[in-house]
Amino acid sequence: MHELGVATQIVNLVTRVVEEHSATKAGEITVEIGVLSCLDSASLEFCFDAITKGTGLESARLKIEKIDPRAKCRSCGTEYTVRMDDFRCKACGSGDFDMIAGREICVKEVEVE
Amino acid sequence: MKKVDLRQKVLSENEKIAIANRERFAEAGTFVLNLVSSPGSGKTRLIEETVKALKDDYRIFVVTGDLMTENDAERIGRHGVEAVQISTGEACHLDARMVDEKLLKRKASAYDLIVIENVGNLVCPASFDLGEDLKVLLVAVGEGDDKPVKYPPMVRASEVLVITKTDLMPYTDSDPDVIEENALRIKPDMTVFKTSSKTGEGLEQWIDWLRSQLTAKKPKPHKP
Repeated sequence: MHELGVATQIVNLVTRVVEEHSATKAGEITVEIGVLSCLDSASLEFCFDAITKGTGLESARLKIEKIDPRAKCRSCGTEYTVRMDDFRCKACGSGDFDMIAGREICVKEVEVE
Repeated sequence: MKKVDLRQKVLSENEKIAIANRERFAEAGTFVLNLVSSPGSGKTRLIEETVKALKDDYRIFVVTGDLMTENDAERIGRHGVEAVQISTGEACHLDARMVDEKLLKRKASAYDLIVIENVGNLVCPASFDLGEDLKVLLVAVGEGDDKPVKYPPMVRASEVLVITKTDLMPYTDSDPDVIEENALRIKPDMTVFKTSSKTGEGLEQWIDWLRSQLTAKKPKPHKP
């Protein structure tokens, strides 16, 4: 799906970070992927490896952390991990909640040298 | 190795173009719908009924997406509104750039309502913001009452659910109330309509709601 586009953005971002730190290469890149982002981890790794092959980022690798969808209930204030077939509050059953996690695609941390 | 703390959101190219599209629509006061569903849920038919009801009061532009053929744009164009087809070739969804390109030669301000009919697919269109105001999810009677539970990201991404083909109820075991219940468990604040484009059932409520949305976005539309 859009894994290639996301991999390209990660490469651009990390390339900039490597330059900013006067480094020559990157190691582990920690990426947070929300379960609701519809991004497939295996495809993302495949795309990342394919586009970094033979480049300065060849030695870099993705460490993908899956982020569960989480919500905060507006009625009782409970924070909970949602079930994918029922997003309502686990404590009080309310349908009035805010999603607080689960859609992110975020580069959390990069190792540079 | 030195660890660099970044915590930076990855904005895809699509999101950047979608943001630009949304700004352009906001400036023009154009209300934009993105219709998503499985293939065959009745998106084109609902658009036909919608343009018939609204074309005398609003300037409407329709963009339809399919892998092949211009059939849908031709069908909708027959009702006297501007309709263009995006033939995606292999792509399973529309993206913000395709919508941007179809609008390049047009001014968003020339329209009050833009209806985008996405490629029939309940997976990928959920992740591709086009710059629309709202995603409208269609689920037809008979296509499986548990459809919303099978594709939760699409339900979460949509603000409106239109259950279509209610005229088929006597011929199937499908129950629109169950479809609604399944969707509301995933997104409780969804606005839900139950319609039949064939008999006209429920269309009045859909059109009334659409009019109120259009008025909210642009209080004084230019009548054609």
